[in-house]
Amino acid sequence: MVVVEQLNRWYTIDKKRHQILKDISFHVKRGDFVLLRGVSGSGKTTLLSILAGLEKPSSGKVLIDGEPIAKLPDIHLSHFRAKKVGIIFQHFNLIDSLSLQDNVLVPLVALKIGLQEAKAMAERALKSANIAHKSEAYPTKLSGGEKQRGAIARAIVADPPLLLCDEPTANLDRANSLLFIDALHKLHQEGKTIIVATHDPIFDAIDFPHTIIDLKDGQIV
Amino acid sequence: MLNNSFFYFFTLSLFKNRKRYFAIVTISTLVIFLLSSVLFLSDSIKYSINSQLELEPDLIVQKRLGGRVVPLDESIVDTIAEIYGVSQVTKRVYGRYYFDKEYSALIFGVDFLDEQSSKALAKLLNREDLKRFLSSESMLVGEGVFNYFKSHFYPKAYNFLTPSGKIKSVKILKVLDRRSNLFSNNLIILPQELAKEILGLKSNEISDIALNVPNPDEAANIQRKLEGLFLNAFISGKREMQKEYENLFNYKGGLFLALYLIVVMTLSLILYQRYSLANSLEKREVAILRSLGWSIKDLLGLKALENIMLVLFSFTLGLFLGYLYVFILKAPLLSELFLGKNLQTQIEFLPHIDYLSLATIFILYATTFLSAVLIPVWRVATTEPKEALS
Amino acid sequence: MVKEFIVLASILILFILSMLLHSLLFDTKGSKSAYRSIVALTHIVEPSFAPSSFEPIIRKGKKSRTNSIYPELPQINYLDFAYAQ
Repeated sequence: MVVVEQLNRWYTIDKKRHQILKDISFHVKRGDFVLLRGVSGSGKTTLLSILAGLEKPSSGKVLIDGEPIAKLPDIHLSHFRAKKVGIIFQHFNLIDSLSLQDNVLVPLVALKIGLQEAKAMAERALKSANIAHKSEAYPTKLSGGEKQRGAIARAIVADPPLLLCDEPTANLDRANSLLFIDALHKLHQEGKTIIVATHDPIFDAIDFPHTIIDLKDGQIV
Repeated sequence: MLNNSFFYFFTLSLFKNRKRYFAIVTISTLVIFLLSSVLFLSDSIKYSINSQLELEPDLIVQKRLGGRVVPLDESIVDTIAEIYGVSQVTKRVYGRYYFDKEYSALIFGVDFLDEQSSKALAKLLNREDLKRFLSSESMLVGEGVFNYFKSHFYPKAYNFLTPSGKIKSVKILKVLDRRSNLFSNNLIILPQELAKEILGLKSNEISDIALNVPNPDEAANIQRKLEGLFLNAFISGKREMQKEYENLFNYKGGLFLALYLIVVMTLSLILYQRYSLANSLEKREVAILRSLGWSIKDLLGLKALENIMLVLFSFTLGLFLGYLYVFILKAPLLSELFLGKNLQTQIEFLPHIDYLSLATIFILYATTFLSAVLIPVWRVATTEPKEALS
Repeated sequence: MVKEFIVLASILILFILSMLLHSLLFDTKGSKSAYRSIVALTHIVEPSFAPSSFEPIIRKGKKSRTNSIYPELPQINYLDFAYAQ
């Protein structure tokens, strides 16, 4: 599902090269649950951004479902992102001016799905994320947990095989974090490949099979 | 279209962000309103004048001494009429009568003996009125003059003070058709002898002579002949007069105001561009949409559609308000700016629209507006979405 | 929001239609013939508001001793009589 080989990422600021990721290589099989662990600044978010096609690697190879995403032109990469990848952000990134249901519709608009069908898909996604009762509410009126469930609904609405989560529990209390892990477990059981970038110790206690990749200073340890 | 999710999202984005768009739509509407009002008014006046230009004499002979227009001796009319190629030589008697420092009317004396004038007069008055007009000292007045008499003096007659100090009481026979206000608002039509007395002209004096030259190629020749025949003659041709109108309206109605308004528009758009570049909310939204699978093309399409709608809305609204202001409310204030304020009245402007000028304004406005908005959006959209999110 | 959009678009179309309708139904012919009846008499094709550049303007050289609106009455601020005393 995910193949990363000799991945490097650096930024050049004031003619000085800052290495963020160094020689990263790993494979994730379809249906795997991967925990990408490391302290802040270890390069987790950058790696996740590259896997999501939000950022291009400086060198190396990234294949997702056999597609070399770093080489795709914008229009194909965008379509790939809408169809194959669901992203759950640390700050949820819901659009405040839209209701929860309309927020969930956003990835379907990119896939040019008809409105009636898109609304039915959004409703199903909201139900499976246990937030259907708040579908008409606006993000500013929702609690952190509710926002997170809205973000899950948006990530799974187009039924992507790969889910990427960036510090998903950083803004949640313990109870909501456990609920979120439960939701992820359910999605994992449904066959989704999930990669979670986190440094939250609550993930240490998960009791279903998973792989751990530890990052330190941009390298796998 | 109703089942198109992109269209649904476009309407959502348009209406949910209406507070954000309010300022720019208001400014744009105002600019278009001002621009279209000026355009409607100048076009309407130009059109009305042009529709009557065929009735304008080809040449006007005046006498000028030291730049001042002075009365002509009417005996030269016969000399002019004898020139080969000249027709319809008309003696004109007219001049301004000042009621006080501010308000004045144009007195025009009709020569009953002139065939053209008596025909034209017969169209204005029925037989009864015509008889009364010929037999007594009476006048036809424009609506502006009538309203002035009514509010300041007496609605049935007016006592003119002649330059020799005599008082001439003249009855109002008829108020001219209000639809002709553009040309008759401050007009007083009197028998020529009476007009001469009020204007202080001697019985053999006239204001100027109007004449036609049926063959346009002959006009220049005849102009030269007239200049040779009469010392101090000042001859103005139709083309010169038309040029004078054109210059007047191009200055007042066209270039000057258009340039001024374009400056205002550009300024507001530059401000808007800065605002939209700095608007972190919009940047964040663009980044979220990009991360959820929207391509640059989708985003630019959405923003273009949104802003085309804003352009269409503000343009149509501005145009509609301009139309309402000029053709329904009769352009208060602006008509004074164009025509000068003298006697108060309301003119019904002919609703004539110059579609080419409108299209020019639209294209200028729409391209400036859209590029001012789409370039910053494109710049945000083409940066890596992760960068925009941070 | 689709409904609101349709309402907005209809309003805009209504604006355009009302302008077109007004300009089409306006009695342009009547106004033009009214203009014509005046211009045919005066041969002066000039809006009747501002004094024209070519008109022989009769100016009052000095202040009139009489009230131009009520010529039989002297002006209120006329002090000739008092000084004569």
